[in-house]
Amino acid sequence: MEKLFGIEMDVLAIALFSGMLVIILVTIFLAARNRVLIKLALRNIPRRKAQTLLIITGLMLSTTIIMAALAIGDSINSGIRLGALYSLGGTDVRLSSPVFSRFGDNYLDETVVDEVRSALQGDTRVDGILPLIREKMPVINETSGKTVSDAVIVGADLNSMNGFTDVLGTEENGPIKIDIRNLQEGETVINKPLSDKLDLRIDDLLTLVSATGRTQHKVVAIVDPVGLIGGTESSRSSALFPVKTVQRLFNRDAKYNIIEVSVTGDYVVEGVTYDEIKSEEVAKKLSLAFINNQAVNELFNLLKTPKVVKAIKSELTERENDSSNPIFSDKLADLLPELDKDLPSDELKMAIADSLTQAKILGLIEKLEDENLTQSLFFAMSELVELNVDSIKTRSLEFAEIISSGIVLFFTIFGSFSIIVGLMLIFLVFVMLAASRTTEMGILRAIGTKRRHLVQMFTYEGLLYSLGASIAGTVLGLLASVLLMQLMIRGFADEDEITFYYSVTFQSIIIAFSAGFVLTALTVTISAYRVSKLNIVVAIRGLSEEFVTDEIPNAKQRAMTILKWIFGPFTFAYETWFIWRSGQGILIRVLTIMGLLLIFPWLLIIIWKIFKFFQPWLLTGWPLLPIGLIMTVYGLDPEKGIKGFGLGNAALVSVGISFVIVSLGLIIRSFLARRGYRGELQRRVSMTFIGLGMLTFYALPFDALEDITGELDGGPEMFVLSGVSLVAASVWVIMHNADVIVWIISKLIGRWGGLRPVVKLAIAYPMAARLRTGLTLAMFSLVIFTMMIFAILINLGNVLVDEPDRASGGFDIRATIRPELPIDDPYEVLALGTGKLSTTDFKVITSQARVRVEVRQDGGEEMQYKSARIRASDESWLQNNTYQLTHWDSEYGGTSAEIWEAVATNPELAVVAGNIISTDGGFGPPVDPSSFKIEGIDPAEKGQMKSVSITLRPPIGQGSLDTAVKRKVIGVLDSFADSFENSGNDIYMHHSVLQQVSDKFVPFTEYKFKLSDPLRADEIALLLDTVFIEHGMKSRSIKSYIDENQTQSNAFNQLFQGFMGLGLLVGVASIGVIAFRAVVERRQSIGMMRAIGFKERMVQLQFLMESGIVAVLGSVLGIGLGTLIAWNIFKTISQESEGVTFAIPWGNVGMVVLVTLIFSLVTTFLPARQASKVSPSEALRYE
Amino acid sequence: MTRAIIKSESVSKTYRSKDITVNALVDVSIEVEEGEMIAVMGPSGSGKTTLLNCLSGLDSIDSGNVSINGQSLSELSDDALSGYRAKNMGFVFQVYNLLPVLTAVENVELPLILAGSSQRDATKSAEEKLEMVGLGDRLSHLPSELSGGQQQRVAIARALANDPAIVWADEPTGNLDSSNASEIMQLLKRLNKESQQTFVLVTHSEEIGMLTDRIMRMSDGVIVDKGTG
Repeated sequence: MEKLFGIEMDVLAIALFSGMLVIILVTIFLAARNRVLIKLALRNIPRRKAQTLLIITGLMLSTTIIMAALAIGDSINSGIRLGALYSLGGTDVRLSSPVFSRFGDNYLDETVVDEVRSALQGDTRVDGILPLIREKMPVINETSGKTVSDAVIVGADLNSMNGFTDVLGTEENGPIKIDIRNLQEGETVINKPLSDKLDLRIDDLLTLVSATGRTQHKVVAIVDPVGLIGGTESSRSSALFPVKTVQRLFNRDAKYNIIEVSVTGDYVVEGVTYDEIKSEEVAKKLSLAFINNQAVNELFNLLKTPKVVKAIKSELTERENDSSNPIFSDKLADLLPELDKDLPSDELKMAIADSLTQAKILGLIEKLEDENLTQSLFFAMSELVELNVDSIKTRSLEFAEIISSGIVLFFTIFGSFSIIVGLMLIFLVFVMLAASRTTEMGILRAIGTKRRHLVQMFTYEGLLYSLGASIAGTVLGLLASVLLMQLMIRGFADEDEITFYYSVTFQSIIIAFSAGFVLTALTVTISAYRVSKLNIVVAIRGLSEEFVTDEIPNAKQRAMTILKWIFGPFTFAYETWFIWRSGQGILIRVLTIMGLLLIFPWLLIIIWKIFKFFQPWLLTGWPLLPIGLIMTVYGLDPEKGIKGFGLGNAALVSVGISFVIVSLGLIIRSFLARRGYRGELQRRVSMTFIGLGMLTFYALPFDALEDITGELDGGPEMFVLSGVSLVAASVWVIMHNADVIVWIISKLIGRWGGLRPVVKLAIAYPMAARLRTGLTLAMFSLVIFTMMIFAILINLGNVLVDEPDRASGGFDIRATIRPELPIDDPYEVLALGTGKLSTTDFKVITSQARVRVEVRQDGGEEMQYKSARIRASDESWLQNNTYQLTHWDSEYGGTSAEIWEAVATNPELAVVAGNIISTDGGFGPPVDPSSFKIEGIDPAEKGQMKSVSITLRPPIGQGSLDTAVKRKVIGVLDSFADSFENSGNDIYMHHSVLQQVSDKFVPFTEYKFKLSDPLRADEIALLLDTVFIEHGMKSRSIKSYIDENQTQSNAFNQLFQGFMGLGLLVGVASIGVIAFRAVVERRQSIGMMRAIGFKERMVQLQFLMESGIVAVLGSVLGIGLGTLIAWNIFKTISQESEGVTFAIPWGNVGMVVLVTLIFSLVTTFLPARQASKVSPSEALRYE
Repeated sequence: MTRAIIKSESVSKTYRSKDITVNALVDVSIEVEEGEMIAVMGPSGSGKTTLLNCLSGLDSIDSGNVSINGQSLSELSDDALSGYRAKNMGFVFQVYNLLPVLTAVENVELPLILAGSSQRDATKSAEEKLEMVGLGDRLSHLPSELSGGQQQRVAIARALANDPAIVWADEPTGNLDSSNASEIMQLLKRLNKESQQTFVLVTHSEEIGMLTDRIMRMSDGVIVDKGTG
């Protein structure tokens, strides 16, 4: 991967690694200045081996999670990336005709090839130019009778093979490269997937089915699916021929449909070179070479007119002011300065050749309502591009990058819950570690150690653990990711398109290791700071683990501290100089120089001290109120809040409101305090208020406050923020009302008389140590919370299985054919067929064609034409599909069937896919700004709609200029409809549109079948391929789509659940750690209990019960809150897609909770048994 | 006349928990002179230890003032107080409270290093101090390898490491058998004589008390008898 969170991986790796180095160097430096502290820290480590092991285990889990997420991302990235690279081979830039095959002839003459050659003449960056024909075609092995209906047939000019010859041999020829230059007419080189599918060996004959009939070719070699013979993403099967052969087959003498250019570069994978910069340079050079200069001049002059410049300027200003949608991928901004120049520059050419920019400009001009100007622009744009230049390798790699970083982001968001839990565990571990050494720390303080020395001592020790833990965590994360990827690899095993491999980059390892270390180190330092706050007297007596807060120094003292720290470096320098002078050797001299690194902690400390200066006032609550209010208002949509003062950011509003709630709580407390209420009551009332306030706020549905706040932007950070806040708030409420819980639990369990003392103690202990119990509870419920949400969300996606008809429209098989081999009458083909199939096997056979067009909503706010796809259907399809509509114009019918009937009989009408009316990405991918949308229909308000007029035309440069086809949209499809084929922005209508939109004959290429016996779908799909082989039919049953879909999403879900399981491990570990510590700490009390008559079993039971109570309470919280948030997410999703059902998968949830409970009891069992074995006399002798 | 090194004026300290308040110190005003060895005695819960903690700055006070050598403790920040303790005070506790991970000599070095001595000087004077308490042959033993009496001697050596002006001892012999206890007391007495350091002992043992210059008696947080020298 190259980027994470939008930051270059390299930069991230370097930054984190440097962060780690700074921490380590500063530590070494400070340690060297005061060696006794490091001595104390170091000697503590081997003191208790089991404890050290436990600590490292606790500390490493965060690193493990990060490492696993990154390694999974790497593997997915390399799977997609390798797929792309291997299938491209030598090709860096692909040139093709700007004409779409649906609208005209997309073949290139020999002269164009010559022009390309001369444009690149002498360019050392280019090591090959290869004209070729690539088409899909049905092929047959007539001996075995096996067929492949969409084999990729490549006819290459074998004299131009430089730079493209790295095709690797398979085992049959040994691991050697094959020289395909000697390929003769009548011969072919095929790839392994094709050989496997057809059962074709060397010297066998491969039969091609073309419009001109069948021809046979001898297989001379079988190679790996790489490069020219790598096939395409949708069909790996491929065969290579001399170009003449293919030209003859397609009746295209001396013509090509693709010219591929190979650019020199470094080997990125075996046999494939790549150099991004060179590749881009060559692509640009070619783009400029094949741009029509006459059209450029014409456009330049048209655009330079003040009217147009003004329109562009005002559009750009408008964008600047609109903070909500900052992503514009067109090049309008680049264009503007170029218009000031006297002559059209290269930058101008590149900008106007961009199709998005063209569409945008046309949209702007149309608003000016100058018919002539629009026509001239449109005409010039149509003529502009003479050859499409696609830097295909760069583009494919970028795509791999987007997919994999998306997946990593997803993992990191859910993973961040586990990471937070992991960090809490680190904190907990350190608090306990400190608890076990309270007395020592008290003594240290008594004999004059300063608080910061204690912080340092603990930090040193902690850093050493962190280092060990980061190493262990990285290794474990790698291991975990290997195991998890196996699930993924198995899930996609039957898939042609993507093969996943396990792969991890060095960068990722560095990032995981350093991030783990830095996070752990920070947490350790914070914990150390926390534990150093002890009351010396209490500590020496070893009385309590809860820490006493100090008296707050007055404002003057606090101000002095800030000053002291600002001038700190000078004192520090003086001290260091003093140490130097005392001649402590060369080491200290080196270290002194390292002392410069202290600038980082120094700045942090100053900020900290400034915060501490204000803290006492903050604690009264009053100052937080305005801060919270300002944040909230600033976070609002400017429409709702103050004009010009608002970001429309959900996170900001949430944090602001949280501040307000906290502030109110604190104000309540100081009010109660002034009224002289008991401290206990003050705390309970104010803290419960804060907890319940937060709980209510974060539990609200995401858009509950939209009327007040306006529309807010919220990314995944909101999910994490609200999740963590919810859990924290509930735990907060519980811990401040612990006695209520105690009362309930003792009422519940206390009935069993004999157990009463056990129950009493089992509750009393956890409730006495609020910090630990609160932390553990929070950790545990956070883990269950995440698992719960995920379990419910997976369940939402199962609609396809429950109601396949919603996606299939009632058809059993879908098929495509080759456009150059159209079917006149499918029933005739069936009748003439070999008798394998008869017309009676089918209830309905329907056909469709797809054409990409540009569409505009008449009278819409945006005049710009945007991209959409027509699904021109025959009457049979329109009348027989059972797709449901979410919106319809009742003027044309009251049911979905009636609307479809209207569309079938009136060619002026159309129905659009559900996505066309959706306004934002919601939980899905972001909306492509160039794709067509209809405004004014609310996706959430289903039912009646008013019909919408739209205008269609061919894309710029295709078809005739004055084509404009009007349609009336009378219905909107359910978003699940047709979801097998990425029906994002399809418009369904009568097939008569085809003649209107294109001068060329556009054949039907898609067939849908309803079977008499749907159970035979898989069998019939196979037969269809053979019966319709002359048309290159490739068919598949709907059921197999659904099954595959299921297998893949199951694989992903398993991968993900496994990943989340790592978080569970943390939760379970925390319970174990607590139990373990409790036994050590309470040795004497256990001895006493045993002495007064507790049986071994009772002691054991008590410990198990303590863990059990925390685990059960945590599970209940997690399940409740998880369901709540999942419900909120469901609400948001269901606004977009109708019919998603909410159900809690109790089986799944039960399993997760049960497993968790069992594991936490198992981890407690050992310490519990150990506790029960404590001999009373021995334990009491300690005193 | 020797001057007062420890001076408390109307010191009060109250512990509050949920429903109970305990007046641990009530209006305590005392003076201890330089070089004096005094014992604070009284029944359990009379506030002896609290007094020691408050006088030595380990614990804060609610009202009144404590000054050591004329320096009011409440004016010192936590860090300054720590530094002051490191240089001018030594502590001996009932449970010896040695750091288990450090050897005898390292335990004694610790306050010296904290006060800024170089390692070499610190080791040297730590060894001297251990010699002085009769543990010259146990320098590099860990606390777990020493007997109770020996551990307490190390703790005393540690308390004396900086040649502090004041040594605070809270039940220094509480955990020892009588022969060890009297040895420790003899040692303290000898050190007090030799070095003219001020010793404040908290004890409930009359025998120990008899060995000091003055016995101060407390009851319910109040000084009932300031004793006479």
